[in-house]
Amino acid sequence: MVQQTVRNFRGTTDYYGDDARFRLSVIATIQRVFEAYGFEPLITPMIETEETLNGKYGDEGEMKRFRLAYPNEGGLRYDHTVPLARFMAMNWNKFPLPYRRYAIGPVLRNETVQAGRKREFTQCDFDTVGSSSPIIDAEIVAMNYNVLRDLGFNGGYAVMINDRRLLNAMVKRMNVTDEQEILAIFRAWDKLEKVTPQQAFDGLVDEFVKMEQKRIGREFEKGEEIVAARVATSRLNTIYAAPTEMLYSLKGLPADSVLSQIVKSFPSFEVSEAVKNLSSIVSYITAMGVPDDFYKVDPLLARGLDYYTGPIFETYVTVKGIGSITGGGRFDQLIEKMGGPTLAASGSSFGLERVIGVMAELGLRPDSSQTTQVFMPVFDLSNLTLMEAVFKTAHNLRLTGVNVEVYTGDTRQMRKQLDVANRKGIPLAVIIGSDELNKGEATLKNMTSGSQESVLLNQVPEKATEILQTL
Amino acid sequence: MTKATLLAKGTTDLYGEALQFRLWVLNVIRDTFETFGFEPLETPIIERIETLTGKYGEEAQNLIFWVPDYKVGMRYDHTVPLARFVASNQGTIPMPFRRYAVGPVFRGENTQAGRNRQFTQCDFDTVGSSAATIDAEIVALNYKILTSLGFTTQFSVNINDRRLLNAMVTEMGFTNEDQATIVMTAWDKLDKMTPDDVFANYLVKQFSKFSVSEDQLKQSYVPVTKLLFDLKGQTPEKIISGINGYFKSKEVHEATEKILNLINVIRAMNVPENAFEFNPLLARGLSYYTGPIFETIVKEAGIGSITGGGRYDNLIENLGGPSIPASGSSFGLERILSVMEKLNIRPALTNTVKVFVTVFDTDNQELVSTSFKVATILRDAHISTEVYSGEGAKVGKQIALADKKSIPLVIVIGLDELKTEVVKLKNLKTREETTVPVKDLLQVVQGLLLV
Repeated sequence: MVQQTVRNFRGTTDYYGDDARFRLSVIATIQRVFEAYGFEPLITPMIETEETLNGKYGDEGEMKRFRLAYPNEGGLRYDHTVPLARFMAMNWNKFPLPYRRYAIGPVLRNETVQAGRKREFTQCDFDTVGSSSPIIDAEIVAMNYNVLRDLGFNGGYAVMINDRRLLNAMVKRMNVTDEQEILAIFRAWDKLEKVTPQQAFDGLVDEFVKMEQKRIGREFEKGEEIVAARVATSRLNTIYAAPTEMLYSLKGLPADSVLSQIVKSFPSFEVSEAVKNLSSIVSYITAMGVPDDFYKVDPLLARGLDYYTGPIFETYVTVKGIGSITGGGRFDQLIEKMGGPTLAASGSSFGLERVIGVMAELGLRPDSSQTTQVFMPVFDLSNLTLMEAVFKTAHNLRLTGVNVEVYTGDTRQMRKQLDVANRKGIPLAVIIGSDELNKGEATLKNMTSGSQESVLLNQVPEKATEILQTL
Repeated sequence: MTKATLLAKGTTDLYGEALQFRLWVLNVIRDTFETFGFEPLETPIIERIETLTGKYGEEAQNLIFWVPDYKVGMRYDHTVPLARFVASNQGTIPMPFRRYAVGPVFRGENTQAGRNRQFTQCDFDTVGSSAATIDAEIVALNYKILTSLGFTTQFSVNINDRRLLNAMVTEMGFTNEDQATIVMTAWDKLDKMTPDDVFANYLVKQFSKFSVSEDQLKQSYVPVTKLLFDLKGQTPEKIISGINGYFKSKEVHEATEKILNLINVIRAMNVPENAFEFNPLLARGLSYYTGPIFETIVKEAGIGSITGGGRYDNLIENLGGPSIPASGSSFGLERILSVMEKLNIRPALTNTVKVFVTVFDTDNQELVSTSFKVATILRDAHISTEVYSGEGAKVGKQIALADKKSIPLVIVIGLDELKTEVVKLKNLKTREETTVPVKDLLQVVQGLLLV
């Protein structure tokens, strides 16, 4: 009897068969590009102490963290960035700087489970620690481009670039000084990738009303809420509406027009400085050979995490409902916050499941990723001469690099055994029965076309390799 | 805050050469699993409380990490998740299902004894077959993986069968299940303790709760144990004829026949005689085994077993799955690594970053762009290349950094080189420096890296 309770935790997934193999192949591609750029692997534990995790991810993160009970107090890894900062705080003097590392592995967050949002998912991060050079910021875009190109993408996405300092300078120029209001405006801007300007505006009014209520420290009395909404609407119409409309109209324009328009519309020293820094990153991106169509300067991009201090990045795809497939930026203060020295750092992360989801939508996923190439049926385990011939042939095939499954189940019927091979998508069967053995031969059966031929036993590896190459 | 407290208890960071070594070993293991036609299965790090509860025994249950807020616990091994997976995917996976799982498991072990709380297990199992092939394959795979890692004759895969153990202790008169378990556990200890020591300090003590006198115990236990102990190390055929000569029951004779049959399949798989042995005293702790059991021992290392496994035909049903036979084994990655270190079996691992490109002047757009172009040529050919990404250091300092990172080749592009479309290529090992046209660079670098 199967119990109904036998299932995995909601928001986690078992990967097997084609899915598991395809995941591994995507990871291998990502890893190869990371290594091509001179990043080295770092594996941090799945469990971190409460001190390390506490207060690093903002209010949302505090709610979504998985906390462990005895025997280990602490929590599960929420991302790779905070563990990196913790690692650098402990080991910074062991490495020549800049230290360049990548990390690929699961992270856990108690998300509301929906399409494209899981509770256990895999992040692929690369970060450079110990440099404030804009080269490493530009490299983020080049590497995003390079990974996606190697995965078979040819468009369908754009890497969005902004800078926290530009965001701060702009709101300052808009005369917004309250920290809570600033963050609310950033959130509204960030949403403009997904919702209409009116929806974002209405959401912002709601947030301002909530702040007002907090300020008065009690529930609204009758009519007060409407008044507060009216006040917020009028205030936001003055400070927020026009600049936002202007910035929104820049979406999709070439990087240099976006930047020159911003300087014109927000005349301030801080804004010019931030723009100067962004244009130098853009020029390095060009120098790295990234075509213009694959990245955009998006002055409305904000990103949720608290720890960013400079340039920020996100890769948006045209596939609906997925959102961003990469995210990152500069975090110059995080390592110091962990108890380490002051070390500038910048990096980015690929969301593996999202990348794979987009690849499926864009038709970039192969039909099968079966790695077992040859299936060998077994007829009589007690006939040792026959078994020896089967295993010897399997051994010789494996020596030439062919992956072989020798049938290990309980049925003796060839039809049933070959059916297993078919269901697994194994392309070639090498059959050795008593008749074949007497002649010193094997039958090679192409599982797709059904055609078969007899081959001398010692020529099986050569012939099988030949057939596999034509498939 | 002291630095040591920054890491959670019983966990470590893995990096540098130790990690390169580890990844190399993992690759060998994974590749070999795949050449034998096992496919990957990735189960989550966390499982529901219902899946983990009551599966590992009371002692182990206390070692599971819980996340009480969400009623989940952390993966304790790969076997229970496999059973849960098979139970929830019946009918959709072709049988026999052959999967491997490589990844961390978590146990609240005593860290004072030097035990890790996060460690990596590499499992392979075949579900849905009672054929001896899959048991024999365990030995063939252990052999193949260990020899691929560089082991030669230092290891021996020990083989026994639970059915033989059961038949022998039954004929010896230990029909009570608890007593039988104690006798088997005593035998299992004989690889670390002397027979007298095991008898006096383990067996007699354990039997004190039963109404069995020391003399009775001596009579039934000692002659058999001496026989089996003396047979150890001989050929499987000699051990079997020794056992068959002493024991009369049908069950013992049937069990030894099964073992002989298994050993013949192992031989048919081209595993040399010195890589495995029939060890009639091997018992293995876990209670769920039902047939052949295996353990790989590396005597010189004195570290216990580096692999362990066997047949567990009832476990999947016990774990809430369908009634389905299964057999498999597991490599303890950290144990293998420490044995290899002890025996000095290490592959020659080199730094993965092969080329370092200097950046002369970050303000000179053309210069920077040439550095990146050169890097792209190399990267597209899968040559790991680091472009200097620090802040405006002098070229001498940049080269010193490459040296510190043990990167073998450095490319310098200055204004002169830029004009003539050449680069300076420095070999940090030989200290030789040559000027190479950009168009020939890839070929020259590939040539140098081959040496």
